[in-house]
Amino acid sequence: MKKLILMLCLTLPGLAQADELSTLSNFERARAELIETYLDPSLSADERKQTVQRLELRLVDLERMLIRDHRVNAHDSRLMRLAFSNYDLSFLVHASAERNVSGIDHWLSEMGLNRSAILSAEPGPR
Amino acid sequence: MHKFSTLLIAFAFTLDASASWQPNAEKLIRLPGPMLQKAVEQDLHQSPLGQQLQSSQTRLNALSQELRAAADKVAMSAPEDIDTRHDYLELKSAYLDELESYQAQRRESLSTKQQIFARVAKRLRQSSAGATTPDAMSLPSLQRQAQARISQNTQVVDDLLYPTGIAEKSLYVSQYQANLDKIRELQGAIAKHELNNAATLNGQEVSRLEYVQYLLAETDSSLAILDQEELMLGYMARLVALDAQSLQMQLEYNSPDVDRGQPTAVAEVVDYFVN
Repeated sequence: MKKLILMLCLTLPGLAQADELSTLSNFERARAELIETYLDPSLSADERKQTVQRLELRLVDLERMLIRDHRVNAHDSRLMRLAFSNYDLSFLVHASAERNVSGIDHWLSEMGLNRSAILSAEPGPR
Repeated sequence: MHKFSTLLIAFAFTLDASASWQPNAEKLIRLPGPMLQKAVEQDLHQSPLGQQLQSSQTRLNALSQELRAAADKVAMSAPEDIDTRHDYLELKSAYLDELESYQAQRRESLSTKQQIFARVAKRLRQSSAGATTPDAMSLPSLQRQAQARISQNTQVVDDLLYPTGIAEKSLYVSQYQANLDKIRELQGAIAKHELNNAATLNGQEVSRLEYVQYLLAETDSSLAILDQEELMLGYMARLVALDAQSLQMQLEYNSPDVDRGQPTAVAEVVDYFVN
């Protein structure tokens, strides 16, 4: 289950390998770390809450830096377009605050993952 | 006698080939409309071509006065006073030489102005076309949409993430707004700067592109007038040649058929040649 979600996380926005603009790579690194924290079963509820809070504070700055970065146009790439073409999935902190839901709820909802979908999932070859 | 033949044969219109004007177009292109015109004029004034234009104009004015005096002298002279008429014809010829040179210099300066204004207009059209191309899926467009969205809920996010006293605002968050305020102040000052004042035509504010197009049209008009003046110059030269021929024939056949001149610059001096 965790593997599936992590795979989806990396393939859908497809930003993890972006290294062309430091703002983008820093942003995506922080975003991946946040999603990994959302899904880390080894963390206790308190640990997760504190880590998520710290990471969201960092990610909110990086989201703003990327959105405001005037060099974005000069780095017109597939990865950059992916980042900007799906605001709700890319800019998690701002999008979740806009909807007034937690980051994890927002992300799961954007990924189309809900209780019934997960429970109806069947194991099988990829 | 030989002098008249020489006068008939040659109208040597010369242009000093060393005179030139090569304005720094890239520098001029960045200037706002009214400044552009002044800078172009100033650049021309300081160039070798500009210096030539000024000295040609000074010489033409002096020749024009001499022509007026010579015309009066011819009017008062006896019909058989060939030397006076010959001097008058030589003066006309010298005037036409100078005028030809002056017009060639004007043509060069106007052509260069035309090129500059056309280049600026083209650059402005390209930039305005690029700015208005509707492409909702282009990266700049996507970034603008994201910026608009983020600016709408920045405060909401800050209130959620930085409830009073719980978390310290990051350096980026705290400095960004302060810097943004200063940037807006600077932008306001730039917008109000005299160099950014909109150009006006007939009391109406016009865009930079419109103003440059107006300058281009004015330059085209001047070139059209110059074409007309060159036609006049050709006719004047022909009249001088006919006058000289007439004078020569008068000497040879004792004919009293001689012209009389009357005063005035290009259009004004035409009268000297028409009679």
